[in-house]
Amino acid sequence: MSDKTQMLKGILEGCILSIISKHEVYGYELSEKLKNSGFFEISEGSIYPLLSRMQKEGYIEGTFKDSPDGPKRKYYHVTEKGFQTLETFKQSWNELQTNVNNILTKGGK
Amino acid sequence: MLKTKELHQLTVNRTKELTIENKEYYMSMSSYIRTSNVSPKESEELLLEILDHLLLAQKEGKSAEDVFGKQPQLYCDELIENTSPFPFIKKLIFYSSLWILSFCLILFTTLTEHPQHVFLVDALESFLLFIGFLFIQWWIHKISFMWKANTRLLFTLCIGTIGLACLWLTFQHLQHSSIQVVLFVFPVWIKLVFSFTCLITGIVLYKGLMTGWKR
Repeated sequence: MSDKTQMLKGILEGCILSIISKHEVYGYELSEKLKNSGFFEISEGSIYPLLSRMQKEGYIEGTFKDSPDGPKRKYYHVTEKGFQTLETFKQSWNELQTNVNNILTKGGK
Repeated sequence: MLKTKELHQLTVNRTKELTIENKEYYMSMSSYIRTSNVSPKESEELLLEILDHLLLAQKEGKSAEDVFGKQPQLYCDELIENTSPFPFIKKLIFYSSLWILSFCLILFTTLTEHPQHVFLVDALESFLLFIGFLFIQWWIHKISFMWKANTRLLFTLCIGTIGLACLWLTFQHLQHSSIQVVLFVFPVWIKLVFSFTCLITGIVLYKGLMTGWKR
């Protein structure tokens, strides 16, 4: 797998954690939210392998509940470990953003 | 907390809402994932979750290919990469019950045909039948993304029936030492019908084992 895809996956995981930390969501809702935030290129199905990985790592947990429109759906919430990971992600993202901006605007001085 | 069987039932019920194309795509995925080394509860949870997504996407006019991509096998491999494998103890219980099932099927044929049958031969025969069930599981996994669901089922049934019939004929040949006697005493078509019935019973019980006992 290329480094670019790996980096994107990491960023996407951070975004997913952030969305779920605000309130519980189910898969389809999550993919809609990502799309509405501008992640058009990510195919809908690709969130499930990520969700499954994040569950295995213990960042999120999923439970089947009755949804308002009827069928049972799997709703995700962030765990304690997930909140910590989200904080770390926010810090590294801010650092990365500052560093990249520094280079782009001041040419790395 | 939903049990594996309940999850499976929900999936079965909701699959009916899929369009023909989407159903074909989804059935291939479910056959592949169910025959993979994944804890049954996790595989049923995954299948229900992606089915729910597919149904919602379908309402907006999207196809399964739009949602999961053009390489379903690759996608499924990614999906199951992070799931926990089938726990060893449950695997042991599952395969032992499968072997007992094979043994019961063989005992049944013994009692109906010749009660003087040697017990050791029964054990050996049921072991081969057990290997046959494993082969069918492997075969279903391998052909998940080939042909249409009905063709896959037909192929599997044909292979299973012929396999079982061969197994029985071979063992009867060993006992009677002459194939003519076997063919004369036990006509081939009876063997085929009987094998087919046994296979169907086996598959139904096997499905029950897959969804009900493996928790």
